[in-house]
Amino acid sequence: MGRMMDWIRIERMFHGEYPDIQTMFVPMLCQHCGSAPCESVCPVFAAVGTHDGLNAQIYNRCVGTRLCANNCPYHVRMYNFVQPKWPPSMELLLNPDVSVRNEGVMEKCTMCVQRIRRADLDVKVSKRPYADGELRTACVQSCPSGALVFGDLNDEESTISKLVKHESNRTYYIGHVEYHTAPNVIYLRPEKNAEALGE
Amino acid sequence: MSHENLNFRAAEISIPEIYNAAFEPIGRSGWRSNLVIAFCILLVLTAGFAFARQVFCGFWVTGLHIPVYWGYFIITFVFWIGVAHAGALISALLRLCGAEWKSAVTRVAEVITLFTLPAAASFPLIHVGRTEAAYYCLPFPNHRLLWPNFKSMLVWDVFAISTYLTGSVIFLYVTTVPDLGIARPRMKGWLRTLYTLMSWGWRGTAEEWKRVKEAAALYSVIILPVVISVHTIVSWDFAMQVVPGWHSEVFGPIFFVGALYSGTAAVFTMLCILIWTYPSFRLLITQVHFDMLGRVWLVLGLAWAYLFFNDFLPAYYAHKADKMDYLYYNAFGAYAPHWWMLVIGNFVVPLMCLAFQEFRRSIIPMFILSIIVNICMYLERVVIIIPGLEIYNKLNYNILPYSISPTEFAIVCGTFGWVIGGLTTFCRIFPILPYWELAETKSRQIEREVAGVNVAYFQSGE
Repeated sequence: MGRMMDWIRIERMFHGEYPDIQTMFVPMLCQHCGSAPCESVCPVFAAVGTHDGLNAQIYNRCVGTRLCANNCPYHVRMYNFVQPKWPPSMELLLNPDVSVRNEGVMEKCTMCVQRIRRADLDVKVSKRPYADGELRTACVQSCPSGALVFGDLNDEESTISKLVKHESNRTYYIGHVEYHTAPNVIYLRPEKNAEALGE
Repeated sequence: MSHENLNFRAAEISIPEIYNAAFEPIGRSGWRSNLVIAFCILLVLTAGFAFARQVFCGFWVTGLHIPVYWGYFIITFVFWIGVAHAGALISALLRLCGAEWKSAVTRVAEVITLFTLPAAASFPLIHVGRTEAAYYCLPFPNHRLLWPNFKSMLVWDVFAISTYLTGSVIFLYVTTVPDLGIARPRMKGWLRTLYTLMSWGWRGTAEEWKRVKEAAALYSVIILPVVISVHTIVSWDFAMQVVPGWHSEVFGPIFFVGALYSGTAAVFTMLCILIWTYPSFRLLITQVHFDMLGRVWLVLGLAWAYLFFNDFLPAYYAHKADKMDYLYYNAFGAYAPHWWMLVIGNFVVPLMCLAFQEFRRSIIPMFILSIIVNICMYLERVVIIIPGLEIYNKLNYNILPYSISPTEFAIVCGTFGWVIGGLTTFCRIFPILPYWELAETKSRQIEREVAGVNVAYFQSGE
């Protein structure tokens, strides 16, 4: 019914005329924009940018105007139309670190904020610097081919910084040219058809 | 133009007759208005039931889904805001222009505002996912020192609409107080109590008259910028988003002029219904009013048509692909019937009809035309809002057509019931035609006639 809630989805794209059609895909998730269109329109600051560059969604504060979803060029904000229900026996399957959202609020990829906060606390408690690769989001953790990388771009020695530097001719942002969103998610063009993909 | 033409049947009607005509429906019930009110209460109850179901079951009972997150709730919101605009603006504008024929029309327009604005203001509350938390949009003291986001146009909406509601209610009330004070001694029963309470001890001294007139003039000036800002802000709800069909620089004037256009149509509909329901009003609302207000309407229609097409011209010349996609989707896509109907019903038909005085002066055709324009202005909001979201879909995400659900339909109909029923009830409790203004016009006319006779006497050199 168009009311599914996916925090990351695979977008298909077709290029060329029949019969020379190329199919490509990109994983589409919240881009955690530096200049996010959704943040400025929320009347109650439910969509806010945090100090560490996340685009946070505060479910308790959200009143469900759905204006942020209209204004998101990536269509990654999912409105919760139905009150989630589980049989009592299955409630133990829910992630204890993540609050269950009510009907009537906007949801989206949080970049696994519960893991980020946990890593923050671990680093603070054990009084050591953050080790690269210590923190992985759920999508990074579960991707079998290692196509997704999560890390600290401010740290020049991290895997992701080296990757972006090394592959700088292949990096691109989605939607930045049209909407000036300054996304925090960086994509790499496929090596074979870097030209064909375009923007 | 001679002054005789501007006035109602001045020669035939005396001031006591004006009183009788204006206060004829007060405190009486007829089967026509009873039927209308009963039907409207039914509609409102159905809407209340539908809303309760939406709150308890969840938002899935509406037809909304990605990417169409705004639907008929917002369309009807914009429609009612538009109709509400006619009220204060028409009456303020006519007051400031000193148009003598205005008297019979002004309070009808203001009362339309009184009922349509709450209908409009209820929609943001109905439309949000968590109605119980909607007060977060207000700046209220809280221990976390949180403010609403003043960059968000929805917060502007909250302030604009509440300002306008307060202003227009005061505007209406200030100009109604003399009527209540004048009619108070002749009322009986609970109406007398009500009038006594609401007229605030009006005695009709010269000082009080001076203050009422000053207040009316002052409010006419103050309410104008409020009117303009409110509907511009409603247009910014759309124009400041990145949706290609909405992101338009001229939405402010389009929405504003469109609001006046549809609001004038609503005033015409209301006038015709009043004439039909209360035959005594035929003495006071005449063909002259239809003629004059019809001219205003024609000008507004032309201005609306210019701005509506002008929205697409810069996009065409600048080769703005997404805006042109939106236009083609409207004109030749799924919403083509709506789009062409609105072009014909809002532009071609009114232009051809209103250009002729014979048409403007005939009441039943004007009634039909006002209904057509109301429907087509509603369609204008439909084709702005839904296709704008449907084609805003760069990432070839799966797309489903949006259609109205029974819940949304019931709630939308409920607000129509509230407005029509409220107006009918108002007519039975308060004077919908401003007696004191009509009487003032009449007495001024008598003065002018006397003065005219004197001038003719002196000019004749005898």
